[in-house]
Amino acid sequence: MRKLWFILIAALFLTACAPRYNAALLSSIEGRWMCDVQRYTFETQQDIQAELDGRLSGNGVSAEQYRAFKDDLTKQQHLRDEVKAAYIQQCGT
Amino acid sequence: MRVLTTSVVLTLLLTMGAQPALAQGGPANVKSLTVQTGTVLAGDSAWIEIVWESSGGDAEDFQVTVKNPDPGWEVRYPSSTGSFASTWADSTLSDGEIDFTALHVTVPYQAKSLNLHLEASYSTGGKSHTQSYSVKVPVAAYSGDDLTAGGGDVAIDGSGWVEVAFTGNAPRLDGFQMAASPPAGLTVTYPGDGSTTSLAHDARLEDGESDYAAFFIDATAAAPGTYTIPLHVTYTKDSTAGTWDGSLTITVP
Repeated sequence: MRKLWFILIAALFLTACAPRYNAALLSSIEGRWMCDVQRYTFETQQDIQAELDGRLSGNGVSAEQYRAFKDDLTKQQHLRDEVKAAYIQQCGT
Repeated sequence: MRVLTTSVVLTLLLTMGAQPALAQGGPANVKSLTVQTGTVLAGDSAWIEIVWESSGGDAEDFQVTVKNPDPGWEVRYPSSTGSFASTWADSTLSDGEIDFTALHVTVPYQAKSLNLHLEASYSTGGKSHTQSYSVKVPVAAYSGDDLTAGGGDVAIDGSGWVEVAFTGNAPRLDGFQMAASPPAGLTVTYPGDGSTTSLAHDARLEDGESDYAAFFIDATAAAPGTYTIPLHVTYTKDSTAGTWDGSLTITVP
């Protein structure tokens, strides 16, 4: 019983510490980014990341929030659906 | 009470996204969403991106290679993977996920737009899978002056080295050589007693790169005055020869 309470408290603690993000905003940014990136060319590999970082910071999104979103993206189908919808809206396919 | 606690803990863990990272669904069907990439200038190098989507399951250990690139084309993959390109976030394209691969291409000056043949390999449903794709890479010819020279007058009191600055505009100029044709009274000597001079860094001038070519002028036999020295630059854009002609103004006090 004590173990369970410990897990419960730890889980509550971790939940409280996880970066919060605006899922709708990040899905929109991600979908548009995936649409746009294929239309661009870049001088260096770092320029690709810099373009993404610029979009994130321009929308007030931190790197930690984006990482948390990407982690969740692999686990949550509804987030992937939202990204796809944003991609289609931007790219039309 | 125990049941309640367990339920709360499990709910919390699920809320936190702590689901086990197991492969999802059945065999993945991977398709390329990219019909054509960004436009690359002929003679230039650039990173291009191809967007992929998996449906029906996860495509794990996702790897993309270019098959039989056209002659003169060079393909490089991200340094983190080396011999192939994987998706940007990680090597798994989850069911319904969209992600891209980046490829570095160097395009010859004579290149036209072409279809790049790609091969994607991944494992899905416990089996390895390989599939071929084709993506159009548009190539545009460069237009404009190949290079720009820095101007300005140079004062030579006796003798000294003169540096002429250049900035590349066209993608890649190789074999850069410059010769000066001094008027009577001025003597020009090139580094290493050569017949021409090249750029300080190397004989290649990339687009956006600034470098300079230097030569030595002996004006001890020249009367005071202003002299114009014609300059002639030769270079190649792959197998095509290019030239630039300009001049430098020298003031002898």
